[in-house]
Amino acid sequence: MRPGSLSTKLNVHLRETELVGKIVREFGQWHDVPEQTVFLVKLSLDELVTNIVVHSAGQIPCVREIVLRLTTNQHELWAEVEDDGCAFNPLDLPIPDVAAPLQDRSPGGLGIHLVRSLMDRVNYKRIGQRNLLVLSKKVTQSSAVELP
Amino acid sequence: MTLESEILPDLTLAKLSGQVDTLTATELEMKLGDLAEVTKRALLVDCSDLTYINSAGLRVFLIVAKKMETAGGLCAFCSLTPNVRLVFETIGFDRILKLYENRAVALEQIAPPQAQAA
Repeated sequence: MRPGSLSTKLNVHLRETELVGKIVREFGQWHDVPEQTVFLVKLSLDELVTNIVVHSAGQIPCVREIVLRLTTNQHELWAEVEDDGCAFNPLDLPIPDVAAPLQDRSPGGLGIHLVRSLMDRVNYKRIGQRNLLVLSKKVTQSSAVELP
Repeated sequence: MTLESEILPDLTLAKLSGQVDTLTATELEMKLGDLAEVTKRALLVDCSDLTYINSAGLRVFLIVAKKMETAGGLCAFCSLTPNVRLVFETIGFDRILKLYENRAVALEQIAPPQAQAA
């Protein structure tokens, strides 16, 4: 992949998840990120931003801004999602029982389970009045053409 | 997101295309729910052109599959792209939902020609 970074602010609205998808896709194109990594990072950020927006609705103070950062080096991609809402660690949500039979499966908790499973690392930090989630994904195959 | 359907005597075919996300999942829940209502035996969701799905869409699949199973029917899925299949496997949907490699295999298993003729 091509090393680089991008930082942008998002409005606190579910419609912004569409924009997150677009940002990740375009960032992926500019930085030669493999298609599957783009898909998985887009999905993870979609889930996290959705969580923040949904949880913000009942909070005082509510979230006023979400900051999204993407960084690549040759072998790894990092994504950060930062918001100024109340302390909220989505990693504390219960893990769904993915081995349960169909009738016992609960439809909740799937999003955060996907993020945890599909990324290599997911960390949460409370810094001052802000929540910070950092994800990373190593990339083994690269679509980048090696120059002689 | 688009959902095109065809209601046959033995099964209902639903071709799901595009992106299913938090914004389109409610529409999918309504449309797929309506199809499940009119389906007697099996509902087959063809995912060959499903380019993206998040947990809101997966939740809809789970709800509809549960409802069909409770009513004595079946909700199956075919032609998952590698990315969508990976997501299904990650949350264990490959173990609780009926998945088929492609539409031909699914039709052969769910509604074989002799059953269709009968």
